Amino acid sequence: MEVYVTGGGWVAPQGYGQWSDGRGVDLSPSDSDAMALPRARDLFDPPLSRYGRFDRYTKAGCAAIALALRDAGLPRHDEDRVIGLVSSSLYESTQTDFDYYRTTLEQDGALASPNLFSYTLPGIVLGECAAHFTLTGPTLCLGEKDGLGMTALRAALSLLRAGKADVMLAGRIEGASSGWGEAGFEKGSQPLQGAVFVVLERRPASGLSQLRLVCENEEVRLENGGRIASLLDLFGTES
Amino acid sequence: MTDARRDACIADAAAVTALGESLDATWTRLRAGESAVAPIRRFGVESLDCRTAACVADLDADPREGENLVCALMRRALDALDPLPAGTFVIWTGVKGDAEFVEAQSGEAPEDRTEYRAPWLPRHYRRWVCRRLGLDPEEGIEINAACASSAAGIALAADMVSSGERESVLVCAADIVSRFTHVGFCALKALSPTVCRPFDARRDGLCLGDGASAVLVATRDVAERRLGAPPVRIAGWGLANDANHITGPARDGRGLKAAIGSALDQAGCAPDEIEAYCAHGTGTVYNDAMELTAVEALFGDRRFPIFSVKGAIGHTLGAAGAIEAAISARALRDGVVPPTGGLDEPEERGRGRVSNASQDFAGHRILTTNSGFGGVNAALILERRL
Repeated sequence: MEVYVTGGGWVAPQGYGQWSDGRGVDLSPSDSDAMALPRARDLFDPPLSRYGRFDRYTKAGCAAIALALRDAGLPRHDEDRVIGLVSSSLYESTQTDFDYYRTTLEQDGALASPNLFSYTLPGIVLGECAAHFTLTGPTLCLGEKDGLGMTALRAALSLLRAGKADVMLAGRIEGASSGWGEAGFEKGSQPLQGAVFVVLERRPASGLSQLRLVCENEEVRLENGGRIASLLDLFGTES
Repeated sequence: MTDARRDACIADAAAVTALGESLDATWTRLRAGESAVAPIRRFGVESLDCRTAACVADLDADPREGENLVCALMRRALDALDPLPAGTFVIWTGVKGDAEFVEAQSGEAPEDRTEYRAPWLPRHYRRWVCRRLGLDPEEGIEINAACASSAAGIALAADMVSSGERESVLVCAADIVSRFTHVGFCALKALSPTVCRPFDARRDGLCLGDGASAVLVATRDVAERRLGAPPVRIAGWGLANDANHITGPARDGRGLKAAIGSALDQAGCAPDEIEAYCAHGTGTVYNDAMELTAVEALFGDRRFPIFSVKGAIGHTLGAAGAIEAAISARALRDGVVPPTGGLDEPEERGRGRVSNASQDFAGHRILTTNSGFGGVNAALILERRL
């Protein structure tokens, strides 16, 4: 099966960008929890009103998806489109789990935050983007496994092959704070921070920058035979 | 990724619910119209408006094994399976498995639960399942699609088998009634303060339930050898998003209609070839109304049996889809759908469709769907031919 990358977006403590920039991506851990993000009004038109109040995980995911869609020439549209979203994550929205649960400890749960509870599901970030950008394809969150974002990339390719979407976005989102490496989750390793997504199409419109991928069994390769071991391998690669 | 399409079938299924320690026991008590919903004793609910759930009565973790309650529940389902084919790929689809960890870290769990203070994230459960079954812990993935997680897992498992990528895939899920989830759903005003009554005119919310399920999806050859009988085939599946709201379903049922439509297309069957429907049927006003809207849009005025198990076993979150797929396979085998627990007076559009008594049906295709937060919808069409 052949699939084309037609866009991408990423955000990280070190900066943000799009696939068509031709630059590499750096999601490496940072001592600072601050994420470099574009201004909301540059990402969402009309505005995504809750964006400013999102947790780090949701904010990073929404920003990277917005950048990727714009890069692929797929801005918000009035009509529903069969575009799907698959993300992967190592820590998902666990930070929000703790934030929500703290709100349940007063008055025996009577003051629990319904809003925070909703965001304890790792897929809410995809639901936010599906609703804002009118994307009606499959939306799934996967556990990150081997190679940055490859689990999501393979699942997105399977859904394209099965004809369940016209376009799929695949990416990884991490919103864990920089202190988690010492908090007993994965001792000795600092979690990555940020989000990266690529847009995948089987039959892209002509005129856009495109990178052709060849997918056989579980292998994903570039047209020139180069093996893709991470979503980051798709960035900074000439189309 | 090959394109050799093969039949993907249910080769085995196990389930543990508050109604029964096994799929057989759950099925028998469902058909008898019993309910496992009872006052919660697992954690304090005195200050909450909603105080019932369907909890497995004697559920207890084994701290010597480093297990928590989710593991204890899942272990019971796994123990019911015969040895699995070598190379079986595992998909974990539990949704809130870290609840006990978060509660313990927040100082709410009993002191003697310090052994549980390990971060049970989805990958930890999937590896634990693999090790317990003697499978490679590196072979598998974890999927979260909210309350449609295990239905989505079965869909992807079917695709892996039918595409030739895998010979057998085990879809596992377990979720428990935790303080974390119960208080959260209570805060959302989604829980029933009275009785969970799916599709009832007076329905006022859902109740949660403990549930674990393991569904083995495999090639027809593997399934026939394992069962010694014609297996149930996963004839079609669909996944779609409402693109509407993160917690409320689209009132026009657009996402559910799209998911069912995709499954019908793949199964190559017309809507009138679906003879029974295991609905998500949470018992909330908006979910059940949305499902009936989708039913009317796709199936017209036609009356055929529709049921929900959530009034009897509670909403088992990530495990719901797998449990309901296993129950739907039993319904196909026996030609009968169970009563909808809690149902008293069906809402107008449910009349002639849902019932508080068992309903016979003569067909060989059943639809089962799940919907969840984030706008997710999953549909499976199961088919049994003798």
